[in-house]
Amino acid sequence: MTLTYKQLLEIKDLTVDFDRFGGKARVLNRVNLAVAKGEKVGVVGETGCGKSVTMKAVMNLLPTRRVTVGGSIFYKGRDLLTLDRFARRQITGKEVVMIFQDPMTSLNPVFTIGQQMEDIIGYNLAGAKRGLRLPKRLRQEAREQAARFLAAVKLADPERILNSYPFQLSGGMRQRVLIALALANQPDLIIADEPGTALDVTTQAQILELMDQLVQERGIALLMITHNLGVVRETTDRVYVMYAGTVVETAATDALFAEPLHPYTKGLLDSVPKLHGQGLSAGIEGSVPDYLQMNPGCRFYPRCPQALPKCEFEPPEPRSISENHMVSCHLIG
Amino acid sequence: MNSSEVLVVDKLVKYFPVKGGFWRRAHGQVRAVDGVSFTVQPCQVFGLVGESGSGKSTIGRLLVGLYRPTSGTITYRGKMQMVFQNPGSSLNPRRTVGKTLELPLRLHHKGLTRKELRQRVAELLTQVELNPEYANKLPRSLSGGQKQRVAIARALASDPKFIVLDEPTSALDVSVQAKIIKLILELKDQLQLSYLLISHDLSLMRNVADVTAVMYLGKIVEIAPTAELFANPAHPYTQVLLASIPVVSVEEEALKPTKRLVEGEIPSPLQIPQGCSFHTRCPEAMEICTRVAPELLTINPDHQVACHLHGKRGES
Repeated sequence: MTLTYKQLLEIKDLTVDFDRFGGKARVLNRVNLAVAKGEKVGVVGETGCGKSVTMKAVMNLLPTRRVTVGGSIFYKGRDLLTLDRFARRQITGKEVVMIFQDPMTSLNPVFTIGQQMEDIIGYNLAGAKRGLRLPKRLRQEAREQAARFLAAVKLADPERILNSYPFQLSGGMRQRVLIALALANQPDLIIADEPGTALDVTTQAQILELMDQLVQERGIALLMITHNLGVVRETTDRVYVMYAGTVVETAATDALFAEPLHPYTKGLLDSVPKLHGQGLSAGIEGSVPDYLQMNPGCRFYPRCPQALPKCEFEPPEPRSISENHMVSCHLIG
Repeated sequence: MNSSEVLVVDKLVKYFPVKGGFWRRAHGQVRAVDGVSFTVQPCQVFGLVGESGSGKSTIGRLLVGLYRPTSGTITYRGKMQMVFQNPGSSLNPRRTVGKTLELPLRLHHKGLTRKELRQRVAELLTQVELNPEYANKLPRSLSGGQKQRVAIARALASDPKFIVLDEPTSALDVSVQAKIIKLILELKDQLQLSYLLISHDLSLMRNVADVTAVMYLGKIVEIAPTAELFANPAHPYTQVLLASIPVVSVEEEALKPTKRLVEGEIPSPLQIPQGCSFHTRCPEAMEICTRVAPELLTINPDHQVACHLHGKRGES
C-alpha cells in the first residue's frame, strides 16, 4: 500500500493528558510538528516543556495507564495512533528510531556490544519474527553487518569493539555505538534526545559532525530534541520552540536565531552566555509552571515580561509571519 | 604568601592509587593533578576549564580538604566553602532547608540561641533571594534553581572568604542559570568573596571569570586573563576547545578560532602520554612533543602557555 504524503512525519493537534492525583494535567496542548524527508529539525525548550513527551508519543513509549493521547501522528501518511501495536512496531524502532540521551545507560552492561548489535540486526534479518534465536548463518551475517556499521561511525577496530562490554568503552565511543545501532535498521527518521549532552565539548562536536554527515549521506531525516540552543543552530534546518506543552514558535533555524519573535524564544536566547563576554542577561523570571494549575490563556503569561491583559484568558492562535515562520503570541500580528 | 592574595596553590599534586587483584594492592596510579600552581586575588573569579578527567574537580576538592594532596601546598586566608554541581544530591532530602542551614551556623558560631539561629537562617535565605518561609520546606518541594540557592546559602553560613563553585549551574536550565550566576556575582561584590569556578562551559567562563586556566590531564596548559585567553588562545588545545563551542549567533561565530576538530578523546589519566600529554591529539604536534613535556612559559604579561610552539622558537 502506498500513500501519497507531503511530510515524512506530521504531528497534528497532538494532546496528551496525564491523570494525576490532583486532576488531569494537559502535558501537551495541540502540538503541531512536521518533518520532511531528509530534513533536520530541532525541538528546543526548558526541562519539563514537553519535548520528550512528544517524542515518546511518536515512539509509543508513553505509559498506557492514566495517559490519554489525542490528535494524530501521521507517518508516511498513516496515522500511527490508529494502528494496532503490532503494525506500529513495524514502524517505530525500525523505520523511526530513537537515540537516547545517556550513552552510559542505554546499553546493557552484561552483554558485549557484538551480542547486542547482532540481536537487533538479526531480528530484522529474520523478518522481525518474535524470538531471538537465530540460525548460525544469519548470526554470522548480522555480525558482519554490525562491523560495517561500526566502521561507518568511524570506530577504529570494529572487531575489538564487538567483543567489548559497554564499560570498556569511553562515553564518546558508546554514543557512536548507539548511532551505529540506530543506523542498523536503515531508518527514515532518527529521533535524537539530547545527543552529546553527556559528553565533553570536543567529543560532542565530533559526534554532531558525524551525525550530520551520516544523515546527509543516507537521506535520513533527523529530529533532534535539546535544550542547547547552540547545538540546534549548528545542526538543524528548522526549529520548533516549545513551552509548557505548546509550540510557541517555529521557523527556519537561521531566521529564528536572527530574529526571534516570541518573548519566550527571546528570553531563552538572551539567557545563553555569549562569547563576546558583555555580561549575562537576567534570564527569564520564574520557572515552568505546574501543569495542574496552568494559566487558561497563554501558558507563558505568568513569566512574560511583555504580557497584555488579554494574554491571561485568551490562548493565542498560531500565526504565520512569513513562509515557515509561525508564532503563537498576542503581541504579534 | 604575598599580602594581597587570598589563595596560593603551589605545585599541587594528587595521585590516586589504582587497586586491584585479590589483595587490593596498588598497581598503578592515576595522576589526577600533576604539579598545578596558581594564585587568586581578593574578589577575583578564577575559572578552571577542561574536559572530564582533566582534574579540575579534584583541585576543587583538594582546596576544601576533601582530599589530601600527595605533595604541594595550598595556602589561604579565612574560611573556604564549596557549592556542588548537583543540588538534588548535595542536600539531605530528609532535612528541612532551615535545618540544613542551621548545622554550619551551629558549628561555626557556637552559643547562638535558637531565636538567633532562626533569625540568621532567615537572613541567609533573604541573601540568596528566597522567601524566609522556605526554612520549613524539604528539598523535594523546591525547584532545581531554588535548591542551588539553598546550597549557596549553606556555603555562606560560615562566613567564608573563598568559595569553590564546582559546576554550579550545569544541572540547570539556561534561563535559571543566568539568575544563579547573577546572584553569585552580586554576593561576591557584597561580601568581598573570591571564587574558584569550575566549569566545562566556556561561554559561561567568558562572562564570569576574571582569569581562566585551561586544564588537560592534570596540568594547566594555558592561563590568562579571560578576555585575553579568548581573544588570543595560544595553546592548540585551547583553540580546539574554543572552536568546539556551539554558539547562538553569527557574530559569535566570528569570535571563534577557525573550525578544527581533534581526533579521538582525552586519554585515560592512567596512561598519560609521554612528553606533552596533548601530542596524541594535537594537530600541530612536532617531534619534540613526543619526548619533552613543555613548561609553562610567559608569552605576554599574565599570559602563560605550556606548548613547544611558543617560547624557545628563536633558539632552534
